[in-house]
Amino acid sequence: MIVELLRPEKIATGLAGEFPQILEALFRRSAFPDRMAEFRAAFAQGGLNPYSYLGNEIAVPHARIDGLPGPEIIVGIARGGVRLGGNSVRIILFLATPTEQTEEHLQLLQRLSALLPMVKDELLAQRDANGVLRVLIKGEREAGMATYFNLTQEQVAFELHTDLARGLSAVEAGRRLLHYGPNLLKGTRKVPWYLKLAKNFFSFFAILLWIATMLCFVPAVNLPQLGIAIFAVILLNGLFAFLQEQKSDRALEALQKLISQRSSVLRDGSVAEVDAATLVPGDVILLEEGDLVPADARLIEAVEVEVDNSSLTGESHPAQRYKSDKPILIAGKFLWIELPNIVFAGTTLVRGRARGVVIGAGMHSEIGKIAGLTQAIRVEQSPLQKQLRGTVMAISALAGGLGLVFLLLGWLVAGLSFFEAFVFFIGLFVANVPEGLLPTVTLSLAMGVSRMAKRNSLVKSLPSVETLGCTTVICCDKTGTLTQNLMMVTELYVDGKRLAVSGVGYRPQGAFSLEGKPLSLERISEWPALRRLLECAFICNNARLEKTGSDYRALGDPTEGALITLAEKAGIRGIHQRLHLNPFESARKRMSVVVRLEGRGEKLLYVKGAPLETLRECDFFLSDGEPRRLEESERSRIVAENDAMASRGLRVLALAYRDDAELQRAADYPSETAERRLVFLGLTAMSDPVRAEVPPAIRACHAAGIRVMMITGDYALTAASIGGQIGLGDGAPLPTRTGAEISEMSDASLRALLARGEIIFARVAPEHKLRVVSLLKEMGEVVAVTGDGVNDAPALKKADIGIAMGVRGNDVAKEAANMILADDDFSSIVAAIEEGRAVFDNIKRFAAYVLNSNPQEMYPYVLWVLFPDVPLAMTIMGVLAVDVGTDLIPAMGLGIEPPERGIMERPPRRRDEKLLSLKFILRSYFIQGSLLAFSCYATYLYQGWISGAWRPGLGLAAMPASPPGLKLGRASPAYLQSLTAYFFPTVTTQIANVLCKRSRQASLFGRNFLHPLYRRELLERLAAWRPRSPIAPEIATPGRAASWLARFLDRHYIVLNLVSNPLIDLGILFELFLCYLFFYTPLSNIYFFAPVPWHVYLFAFHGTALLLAFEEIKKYYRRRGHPLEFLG
Amino acid sequence: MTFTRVISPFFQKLAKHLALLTCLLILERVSGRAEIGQIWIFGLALAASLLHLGGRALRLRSTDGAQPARGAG
Repeated sequence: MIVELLRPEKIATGLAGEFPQILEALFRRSAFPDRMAEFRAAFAQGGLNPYSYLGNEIAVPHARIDGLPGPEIIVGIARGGVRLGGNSVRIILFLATPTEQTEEHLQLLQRLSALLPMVKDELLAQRDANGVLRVLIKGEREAGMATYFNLTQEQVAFELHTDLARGLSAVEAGRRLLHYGPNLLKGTRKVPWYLKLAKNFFSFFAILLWIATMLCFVPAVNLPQLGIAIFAVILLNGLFAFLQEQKSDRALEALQKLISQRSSVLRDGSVAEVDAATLVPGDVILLEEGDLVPADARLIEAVEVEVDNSSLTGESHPAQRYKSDKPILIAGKFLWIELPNIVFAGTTLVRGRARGVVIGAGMHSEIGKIAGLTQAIRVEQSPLQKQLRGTVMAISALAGGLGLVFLLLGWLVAGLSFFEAFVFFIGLFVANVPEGLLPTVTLSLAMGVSRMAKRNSLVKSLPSVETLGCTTVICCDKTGTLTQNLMMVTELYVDGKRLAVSGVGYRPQGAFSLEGKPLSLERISEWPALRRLLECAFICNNARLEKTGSDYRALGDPTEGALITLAEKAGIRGIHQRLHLNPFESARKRMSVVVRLEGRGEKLLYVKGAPLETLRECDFFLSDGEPRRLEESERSRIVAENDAMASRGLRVLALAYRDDAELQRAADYPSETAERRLVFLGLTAMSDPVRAEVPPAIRACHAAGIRVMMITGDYALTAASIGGQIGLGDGAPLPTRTGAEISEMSDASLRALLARGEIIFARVAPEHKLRVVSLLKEMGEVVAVTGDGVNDAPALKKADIGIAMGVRGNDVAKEAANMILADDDFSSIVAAIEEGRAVFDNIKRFAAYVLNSNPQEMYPYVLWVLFPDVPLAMTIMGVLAVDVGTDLIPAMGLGIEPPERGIMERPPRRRDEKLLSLKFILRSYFIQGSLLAFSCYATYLYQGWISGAWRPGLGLAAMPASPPGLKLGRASPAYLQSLTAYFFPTVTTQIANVLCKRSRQASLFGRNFLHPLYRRELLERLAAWRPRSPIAPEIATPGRAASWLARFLDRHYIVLNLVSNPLIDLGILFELFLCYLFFYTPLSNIYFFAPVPWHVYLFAFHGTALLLAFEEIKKYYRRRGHPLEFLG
Repeated sequence: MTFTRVISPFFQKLAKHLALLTCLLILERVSGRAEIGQIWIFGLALAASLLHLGGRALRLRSTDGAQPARGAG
């Protein structure tokens, strides 16, 4: 943090003279030379503040400057020493920060206070700027020692210009609010309204109307009134569409207003409740149990404060916070958010009450910095979005190119007028552009979202669904995702014996067993050491269990909840009167309670705490019901037992008691005197159990070629133990790296590590997680990342798929994520990936289906233009009719097809795999498409044959001729019938096509066609169906019929296969109905069709049979391992 | 919801179909292939616009519904 702000030119060695001159020399080295006057003014007005001299010949003159672009640090070394007040100073570090960055200012001051004394001697030994810089770099890197020095609350108040007793004045608070801005997280920039408005006037739909308008004003057309009228339609359409969007946006804004909160603040000496958005640095806030902390604050009063930091750290265990003006020493590398005398915005006070001075608000708080980091990450397009853009462009270019060729051929070669040729251009363009692609993609993704929601995954942005399908790596949290996010005692060590405990979560049911044999409740109650241990677990406890439906939850600390559950499993409940409580303190790592035994008047002290710290106070241990002297050998045995449990990733607590005469005589019970001469009872080992669904889900990931990496804030041993239990690494040794180790690895070595199988990362900070995700992405992996805290937000945003936890996750994580898991369960991610894969398959099926129909529409034009004698077998109206009839609803039906069986046994799709490759387009056009076109021409000729115009041996030119100039209003009935005969098979062949496209290799007529999950769901839904009509709800007949139908379909799987996608069935019926409308109603005058004899319709179904046979044979070979990709 | 998701793109597709038909009918009328009054062509454009707006309204409604509620789960 410090060295990032330093460069050699900002370091001056060999300074000498008076202190003001030295200061001036430092100013001259500033990166902001235009601010020198303000630097001078800051020190001229107030002089040096009392906290500028750190002692030990070090001075840090500092100031906060309005409008400074960023923090400024300049270092000066005066080996000979200069006088500052009554002190001699040899190291001078000038610090200036922007006024609004209060928290950064205090952080820098703290870090400098810690770092400079540590490296003073080395700094004085340096002769040049580079040497000084090296010392500072080394010092800051190694500042993992217990060196952190805390600013006193008086200094904090001084730096923030506030009065801790009276708070800020209302006037000053108002001034700061204007200056610093509100205590709010800035949202992402919105699209301006005028751009939104303009967008609505130039959508694809609007452009079509613009073309119509412009046509009206072409001199040859000359329909100005109509042009003006259509122009008015464009204006109204654009305006209404814009208003629709605005209304939708405003609904979201209203939702945001609901979450604004209030906060108690001390202003002008009295407590007021204000909108939390108006809090400013220097405000003194008051917090009560249950309050959301509104801004980062240094505690100046704290009574038994515990905070839930999970929104920042992801760890759900409450952390203690206290007021401290003494130096706080934290061993090892630590995060700013671990400081115990600071509470952070976004966290919650779960216990106690506190008063604090705001040190950072809004975007300058820790949560604000994370939000800023999150917003700075550019959202990349999903693989599907990239593909679709390329596909649409490629097809449009192809269609435009073909259209242009035929426009020129028709105009210059076939003798058509330009307008006529232009009409054909439009016809060909329409025939070739899969215009239903985008709505179908949307539908397909939306259906994927809907199915995922049923499987507990809520997807926020549609393209994320498909991205899930090509996921190659899942970076997963441990707590709550792989594990149950609760504590459960699984092992006991009591009376020299090891016991196992079974059960589920906090349910007070379970069994105790000794060497594999269950212990009865009588045996437990007759075992003095065990009974007393369980009593201790129950009494020395502040948590309680609450029944929630069929389950239980722990109110209070999860560890204590696990102990209550343990006692209740044995039916032991303490009903003694509690006389005193010594709460848990991190310094002694124990808690104790003094109780009076029911009916006996004796007092008893129960203690629980960290094993070594508790054992240190034990002089006895309970064995066979008698306290015995705790000899060194027994003590070593207990320690060894503790180590063995801890090495398996278990959390171990020791339990003890005291009931001697000294305790009976005592009137008060301070921990220093009461928690001594204890009798050791035993050890409890608890763990967060693995979710039952996770190991099979991990196996499914492995089968699907997906790697799983665990990234957790928990300890390496615990993480490795869980990794082994869930089957990570498939039995191979699992590499485990900590956050500190990641920091020391170069990008190249971390890349090399990430390229190897599955890895566990433990004790990681947000930046480590972000680095791992970034590198994986750079390596070409498609990365899904889970997270629940604010700290996870950058990684969630960076990931291809950010997955937030619905239960534990906070709003910032949910906001940054693409997907929310309603049940926090890892197996739901795997289900979502299966759905994602299905979505891509479905989009590809849709594309193939639509492309297959294009040759049927295109060939008639090609033949008509190239061979002047050949009549036009399909008009532009026919093309449009195909487009609206067969290309939409049935095609959309393909979009909602559930995952095909075996979809998770394939490797992930390559990210660069094309949705539509050239080979794919050629296959669709010339193999399947030609087959379909063959059927159309066969029926067309059959109609010519029965009408007497054509017979075998004659060419297409013998068919009824097109009207002169293609004036269809004057076309002969025979020609219109031939148009019908060509059009109808486009429908019948597409019926077979859509049914065949539903699977890649499963036979439509086979038992295994449907995914078992969806087959069961479909039948259950059908069997459970009851009429909703309120008129006669008592009528059971429809319900019985539904049950019968479900049983029927279960037995007749071919029928079930055919009707299992209702949208396809509806689409087939719809297109047949459209045919009726086109052939037999006045619409026939617009689309230019005429009815044909019934056997022509029947003949057209030969195409259905032909295609079904072709596809079933292809699938038969595919099931036997022959991909036959060349057949489409 | 499924109904809305199907109907919405269908309306929008039909709207584009009708808009395209409007262009074609103008050309057909000019080239004398079809004898269709201006009022019918205008009606077609208007119907296209109404279908387009209807489809959008349904889409916006289904999109709102698809968004997970704040604090979902």
